[in-house]
Amino acid sequence: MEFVVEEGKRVHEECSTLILPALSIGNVGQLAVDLLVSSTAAERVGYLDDLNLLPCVGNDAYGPLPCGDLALPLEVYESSSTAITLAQQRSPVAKGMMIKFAENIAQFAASSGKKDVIVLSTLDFQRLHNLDLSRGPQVYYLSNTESDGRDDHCERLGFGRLGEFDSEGRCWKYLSSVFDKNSKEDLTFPSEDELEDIDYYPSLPFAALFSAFKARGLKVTCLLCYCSEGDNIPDAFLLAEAASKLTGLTPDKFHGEEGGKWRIPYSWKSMYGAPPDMSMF
Amino acid sequence: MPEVPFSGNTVESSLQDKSCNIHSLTSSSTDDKSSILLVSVQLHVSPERSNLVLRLLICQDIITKRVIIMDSIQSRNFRGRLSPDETLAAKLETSSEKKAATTSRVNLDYFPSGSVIDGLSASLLSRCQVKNIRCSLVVSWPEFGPSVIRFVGALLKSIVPSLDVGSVNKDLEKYSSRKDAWIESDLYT
Repeated sequence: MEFVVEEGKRVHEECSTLILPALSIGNVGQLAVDLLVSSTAAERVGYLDDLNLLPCVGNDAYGPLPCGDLALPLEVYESSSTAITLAQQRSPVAKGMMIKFAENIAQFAASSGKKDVIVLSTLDFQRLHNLDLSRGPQVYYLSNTESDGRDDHCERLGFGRLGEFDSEGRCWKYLSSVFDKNSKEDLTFPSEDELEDIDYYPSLPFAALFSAFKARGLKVTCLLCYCSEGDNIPDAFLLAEAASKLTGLTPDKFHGEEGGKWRIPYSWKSMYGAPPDMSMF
Repeated sequence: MPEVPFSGNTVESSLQDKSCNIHSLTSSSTDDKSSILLVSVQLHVSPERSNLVLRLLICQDIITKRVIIMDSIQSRNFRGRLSPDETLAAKLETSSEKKAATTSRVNLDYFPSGSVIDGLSASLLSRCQVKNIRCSLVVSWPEFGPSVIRFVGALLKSIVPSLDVGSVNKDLEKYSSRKDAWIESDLYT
């Protein structure tokens, strides 16, 4: 993975926190990063070029009007006022290459001086066993602060610990061994036919990223919510809000619409395609 | 690429071959020493293969100063309305292409925000952006048909004035007919 600084831009060394999405159901992590980039007026400072990502290009996603600036598969944005680096991933990782991709991006984070990493992702709503709607939509977390995934700061913010995390589970152990260069264990990931319910969580991209960043000695927190495919904008707001609370971003760091906090990215205006042809009515 | 059968391909390059052909055009003018390579990609390159194929095209033995890519708008990735009766075209450019003189650039509107292009074209354009190479990606619609062939021919003529597109237009329109697409199937060799 090669990090290329955009011409005329520089990397802000004070940006010690990295926020990035892990591709998942509803693309919520990416939508949340879109919101954070747009609302904090973060500036693109470079690109990450990785062979393990499928290619895609587009016009500028943020606006206010698309001016022909290219949007590439993996871009790095920074805002010196927030001291946060945001990495936006627009295309999926090629099948079978997630471990390599996670290794590469963890290497980038470590070598560029990041200390904290926040991964935004989602889980399939059908996997949620204990539905409690009394508290409203719930954000779950997984942290490497404690061995059971617990973190005091996340608890105080009201996030729910991901109870399904089991560091001794076979797939979580596999991920730890793969990224740990000193590991002498020769473990294998179960084949598709052998996968069980307990293997669902560690089989997701966020788990590989979590294990890779952890192996590099970085503090990593995954913020997760359960959702289904559909209109995932509310889920994006939920995760973006959670990330802003976790990083301690105050309202003055945001450049929202009409004095508010959030600015809708320009590319969201056509998210569901063109409006229907009214001439048929 | 092992998944692409060569059976049915001809020894001399043909529009019906499943192949990627590189043709060299050199200017007849003694003052113009530049050479142009025309690369015709006549087979489907899967997204997983795109990054590897592009490195063969522009990052190793072929050093380019400027790249122009022509592809079709992919309806699955386009958020607007695409009518089969209407010819559309748009472009995306690298930063270095944007900085070049307006008269030397392709004169088209930008591809709308929210829609994306994937595959080999995207891989090429991304690489050119990262390597600071002048590059334009022109995408057109519909994928087949005489109208889009005429558009592409006119565009090629504007970029390479010495190219004689008039004499081959009729052949290209014949190969570009949608009703013949079934002949391109891998079932028939």
